[in-house]
Amino acid sequence: MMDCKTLLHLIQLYLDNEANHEQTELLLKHVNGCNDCRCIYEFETAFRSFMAKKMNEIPVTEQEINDLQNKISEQIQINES
Amino acid sequence: MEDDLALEEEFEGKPPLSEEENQLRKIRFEREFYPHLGALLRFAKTLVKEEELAQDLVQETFIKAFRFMHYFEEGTNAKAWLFKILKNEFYSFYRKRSKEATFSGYAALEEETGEEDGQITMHAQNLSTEIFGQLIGDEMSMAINSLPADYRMTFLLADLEGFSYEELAAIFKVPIGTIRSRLHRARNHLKKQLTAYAKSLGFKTEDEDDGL
Ligand SMILES: [Zn+2]
Repeated sequence: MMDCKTLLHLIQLYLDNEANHEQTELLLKHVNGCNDCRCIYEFETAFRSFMAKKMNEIPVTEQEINDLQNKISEQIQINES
Repeated sequence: MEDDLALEEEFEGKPPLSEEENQLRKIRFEREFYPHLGALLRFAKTLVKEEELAQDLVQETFIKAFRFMHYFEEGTNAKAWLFKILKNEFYSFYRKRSKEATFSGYAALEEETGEEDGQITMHAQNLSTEIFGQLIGDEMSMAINSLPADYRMTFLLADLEGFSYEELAAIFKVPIGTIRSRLHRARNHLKKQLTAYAKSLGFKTEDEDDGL
């Protein structure tokens, strides 16, 4: 069985969508058999989704996007003339 | 930043576009780049706290994108290209405001890496994930803002925008290993910061609760 230290590294790869098939298999197998690593894996997963959720709470409205788009188009027009 | 200078230099001396070429350029610009405006704005707002500054960064990014559009290869990743310009804008902004606190965090972050890898995770893990859920956006944005610029950009591009290691390596012009270690350090730093905030708010960690 793979050692737990290597697994920490694999967890990050996996959550970054950078683990290949073989690495994914190794990870899942280890996590199923090792309680410590399973806890870490679950924590890491929850931590990522917490961060993603919080970051996506930052509001960007359609209005804001449209206003900025208009401002950019105007500025480009000015720069051209 | 040096990209930008290189682009400027290369751009000098190019013959001006004809009216028709210019019209086509505008159509292409709007079609290829405007759909990413919302993503860039959200990103910029997470990156810098001041809303006006975030808008300025995005506006400058799009204006540069238009100016240098003939360097953009059609069919390649427009979003990645825009983020690369935004990164340069962000750096040049901080260069102008030099000696800004943002660039001074490197030493601290380097030191943190001396800590045993699993240790930080274990530490943070002692706080149940529910507690993390109760932390509000302010604490998270403070924690993100306490990251040095390179780390902050890399982390946000990965976790907010989902860029791959390879794409990030191209955006920053650094090896993939550097990206990996930046992400690793950034996440460890965030875990530590958030754990500290949670404690300062009076949340008890699980190890205090049941003596584990
Ligand atoms: Zn293990």
